[in-house]
Amino acid sequence: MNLTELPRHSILYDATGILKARLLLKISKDLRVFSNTARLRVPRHGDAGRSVICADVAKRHGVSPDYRKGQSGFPARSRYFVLHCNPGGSGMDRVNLASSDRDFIRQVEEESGQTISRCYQCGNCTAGCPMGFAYDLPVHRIMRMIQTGQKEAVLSSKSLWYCATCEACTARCPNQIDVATIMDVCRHMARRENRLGVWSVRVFTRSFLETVKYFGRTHELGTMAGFMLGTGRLLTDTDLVPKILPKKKLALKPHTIKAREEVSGIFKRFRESQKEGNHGK
Amino acid sequence: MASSPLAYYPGCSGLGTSMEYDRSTRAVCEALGIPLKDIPDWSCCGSTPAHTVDHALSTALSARNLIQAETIGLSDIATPCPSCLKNLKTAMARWQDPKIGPAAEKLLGKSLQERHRVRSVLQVLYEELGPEALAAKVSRPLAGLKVVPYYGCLMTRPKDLMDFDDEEYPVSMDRLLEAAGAEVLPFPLKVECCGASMGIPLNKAVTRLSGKILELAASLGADAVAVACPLCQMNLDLRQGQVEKANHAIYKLPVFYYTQLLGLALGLPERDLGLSKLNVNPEPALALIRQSRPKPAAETAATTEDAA
Repeated sequence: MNLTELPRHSILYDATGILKARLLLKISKDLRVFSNTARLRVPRHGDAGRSVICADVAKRHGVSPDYRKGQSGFPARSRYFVLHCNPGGSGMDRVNLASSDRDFIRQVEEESGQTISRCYQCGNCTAGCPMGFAYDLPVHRIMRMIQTGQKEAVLSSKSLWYCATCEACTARCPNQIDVATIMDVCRHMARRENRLGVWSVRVFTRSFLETVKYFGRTHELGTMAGFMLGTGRLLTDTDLVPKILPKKKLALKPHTIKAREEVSGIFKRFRESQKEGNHGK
Repeated sequence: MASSPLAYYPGCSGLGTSMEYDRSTRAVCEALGIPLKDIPDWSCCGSTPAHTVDHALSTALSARNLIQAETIGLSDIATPCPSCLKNLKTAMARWQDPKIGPAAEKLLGKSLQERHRVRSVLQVLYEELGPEALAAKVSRPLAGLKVVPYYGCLMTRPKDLMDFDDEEYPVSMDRLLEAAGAEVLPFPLKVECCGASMGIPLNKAVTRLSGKILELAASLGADAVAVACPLCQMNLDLRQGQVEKANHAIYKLPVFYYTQLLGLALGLPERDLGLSKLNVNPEPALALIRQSRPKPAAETAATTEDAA
């Protein structure tokens, strides 16, 4: 991402993301950078893709972008990353109300049991959302887009998949809307429409449930193996292996229950009901 | 307190990465006279993955365990894991939902007979026993141990469903740990998300969110973190190295299950509490307790004063 592509009023956090002592630097009238002077971070291998931001910030200030050598007059050895910015933060994205999908609104309301129109866009859900940094649409915007029937935008959003289901949004909604369930329901709809979503999250979910289906209980090692093979991320958490192995906590063999066909039967019938397409309607 | 036994649902991680939680929970309940009886042939509740796929699927997977509890004639269920707790409670609520209940019944092929009562072990300890009764049973107070209590996001919310403690600032674990003699520090991030199961598909979520929790705990001067959730414990303890690396910090904060700390205070042998299963070395924290810990004496009331 380039600075010039950033929407107005973006907020940049420094690399640690931990805001111990903030120093507000005004880079330009549209862009603010929070620097954390207490914990400066030394650039390390693998940061290359993101340095464009620092260089660009530096350029605007007319200082050397060569922070690596520590010669830069602009914030000494500190680097800046876009960890959080409000996509379309200007709020000026056009919504075509003529394309409003009434069926979509009704379906979300029916499946979640919530009244979407009760949301008055206070933004409390987004303020408390721990996963917001990974979202392409903040949760209050998802709510607004459901209100305006923007089915395509909602169901293709990455946010649905990055939601950690912590329910902070539900807990803090002043209108008692169960926002987390609405996120759940939208995710179900996206699945039923076979949308790709965020692949890594989908693979994790699938490998977890596969072990439940076969053994009746989750098998942690099996879930990990399924995830690694499914995503090709063969090195996921391999740094944890020497830590956990000596603790003798990881069961190599799954703990299969006696009535495992009962559990696999649930999955079988679920699959059938999905195929028939009569489920959740 | 020979009450009728509680149907115990250990949860899958209790057989693996959180076996010390399971072990210490059983040991503490036994020491406190709370009989637990395992739900026969219990299966996975589906956890987060199931309810993100479909509510009827999640309800059916969880409800099977409620039905299994019926087979031993118990309807009062306790589980240490907040995620299992939330799924079992949600299943009871959704079973009554005319859109989800019948679909779940079709998936499961069985129906749910009676109204069950599902509680966390934390709730059972807090409500059935209470801090005062616990304090009376403490033989080795955890004096000198500064601990921050971390409940995780699901233990108390959503409020209407969980119906226990305060949604944003729970205190039950605080009170129990205080009764055990520990110094419990006020901790503003008690119910903030640790990154949950995102640790695998999006590791940054855990290094960032658990980072905030560990950072605050360390800056408050805590000697240890006490948790009540297996996934939180894994993120804060097993992944602490990843968090430290990503945030360029060193915390070395031991992360205990609160049941392990209660067990220590009750004078249970350390091997029964699975302390050796923890990733971050708990020894510095244990040394603090030992330092100010009085020898186990007959009159537990008198010993607390000697400690100071």
